Amino acid sequence: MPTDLDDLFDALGRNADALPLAGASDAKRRGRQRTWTQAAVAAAAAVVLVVAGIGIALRDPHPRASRPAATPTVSTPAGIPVVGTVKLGTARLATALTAQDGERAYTTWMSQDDNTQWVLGADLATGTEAWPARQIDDKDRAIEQILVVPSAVLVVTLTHSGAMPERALYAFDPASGVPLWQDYVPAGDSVVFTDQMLVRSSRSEGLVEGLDWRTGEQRWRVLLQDDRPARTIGMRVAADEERIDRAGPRPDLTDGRVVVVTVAGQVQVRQAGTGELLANAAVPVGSGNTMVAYEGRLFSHDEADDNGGPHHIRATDLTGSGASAIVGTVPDRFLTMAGCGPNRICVVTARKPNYKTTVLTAFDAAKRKKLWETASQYGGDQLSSARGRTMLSALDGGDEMFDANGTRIFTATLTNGWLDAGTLMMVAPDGTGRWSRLSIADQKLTPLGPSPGEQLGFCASTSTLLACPAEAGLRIWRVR
Amino acid sequence: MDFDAFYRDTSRRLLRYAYGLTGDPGEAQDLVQEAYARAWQRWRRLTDYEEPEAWLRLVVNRLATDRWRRLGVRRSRVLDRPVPVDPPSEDVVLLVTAMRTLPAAHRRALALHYLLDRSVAEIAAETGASTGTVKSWLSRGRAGLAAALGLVGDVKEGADRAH
Repeated sequence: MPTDLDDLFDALGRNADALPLAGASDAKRRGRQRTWTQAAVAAAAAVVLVVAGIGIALRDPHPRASRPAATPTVSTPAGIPVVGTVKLGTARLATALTAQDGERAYTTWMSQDDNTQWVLGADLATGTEAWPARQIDDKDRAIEQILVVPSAVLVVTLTHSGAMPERALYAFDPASGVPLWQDYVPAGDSVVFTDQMLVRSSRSEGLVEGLDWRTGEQRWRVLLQDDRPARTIGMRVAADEERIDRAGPRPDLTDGRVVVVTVAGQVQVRQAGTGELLANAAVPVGSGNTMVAYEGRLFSHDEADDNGGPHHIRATDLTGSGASAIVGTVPDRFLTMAGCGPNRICVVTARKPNYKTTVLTAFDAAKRKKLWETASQYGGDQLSSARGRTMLSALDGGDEMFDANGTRIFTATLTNGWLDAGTLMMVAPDGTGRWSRLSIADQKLTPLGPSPGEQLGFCASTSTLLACPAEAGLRIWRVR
Repeated sequence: MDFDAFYRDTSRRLLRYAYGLTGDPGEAQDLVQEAYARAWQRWRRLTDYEEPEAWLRLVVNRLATDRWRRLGVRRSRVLDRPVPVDPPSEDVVLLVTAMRTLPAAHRRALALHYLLDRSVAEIAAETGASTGTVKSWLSRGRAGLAAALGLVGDVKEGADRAH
């Protein structure tokens, strides 16, 4: 055996060079797969969080780890009780996603053994199987999302074959797991998940329709043939933010209003349950895919501004008057925006000259003024928010949380996520790898116990329970 | 910059790096695909970076240490239909086994130096550490490898590796 490291590494390099590697198109497909439901997924995909300034040596791969700040109170670790583990039938999981409704956790996964896709229900309180794994007969597609509304569990799968509709929806009875219906969502259509009904709009068909969660049947339909729907979005309200969990912001919305934006920029606010027209408004043509409906307003920016800015952030009233006004401007490159508290919109931009630096800016929509802005330490461009606090996350790791005044509450390099609207789940920043809970309001850090040391899929949580798919099965831990 | 060309020009190097960090061919392939998926998501921004390839390595580095983050994004390997490859040589198996015993920082420095021919100064620039720290990582990494390989005092350091 050669004892020269050069020779050993050369052999390793040659071995690596011989490994097959999927092409660029495969990476693009994987990247695109995220964007549709990014809010639901991105916030869930996180791990080791470093609370700002705890002042303990960190096992952190990046030098930007610790930041000085207030020291949280640390209580004595008490271990992490496992409520139960529900076998999934394979240890070789590919994608594995979880949703919860307070009573049960629902996990969907793809097996690496044979690409079969499954969904299962588990009782959170007992950690036992509520209904056995049901196979989803859709081998050619990737699992993209799982969500639960009062009358259905919905699994969304995705394909980019081009020959078939892009997404497929599979609905199951939350109580029994019995399949309810399945349907397809062609590319370019919008789907909004509300508690009352599933709302779909189709530009190609020129219609908006409400689908019954139990049967998948059309309950109402509005034809918009002359000025077709370009996009339909759901109205997110503070009550939705209150339901944030380890899986991220909930994709199913409680408000019941959906906002249909037509090709010509006409805006219709409709009742999701009945299709009834509630209000009309208008936005400039080309307001694009970044629109956000939040707390009774439609926030948009003119995509014509994209070539250099400044970007005008527009708020349009959706409660009756239809009044529309610019609430502020941001320079350089617009990335994303999201509601971040009463009357507030938060906007992320990338700044010149190299666009590495991102800046988070908060506007008051009622007063039409900029409240604060702050540069991200990590180039973060993913937003999530609850109780007026805003998390800014970077795809390559790194999270920051700001309070309503724009004060940075903590920073992190490798992050965990929300446990509930007032609590974060994280790995203790003391290098031990212990799981911990952080109460955001008082910065109290409560170590829970050692990390399970197994790979976990995307988790969901309540304030007291954490459910994660793992190689051993769907694990449910008591975390409070 | 065209994404496909960027992928073509850099993916092999990234796979070397990921393989050096993980020692697992399948994991390395997953990490590389995941890193490029994230690059594609932010491609417009990435094209403005001075060193987008370094950003990819940062992503791989973090994902390699992040068990929670990875399972949820791993694609089925069955779908990938990998081409059969020759098994690694005994030397490679021993080396990757030894690499796994090292701290992440040492492993990262060794992978950059030996697999990507990066100089101490370049590793320092990429990691944000001083050149002295990088030298220490490399030195301790080599010593760790020697110990793990059962070759204490017998492994050439390769400090004069041409760059």
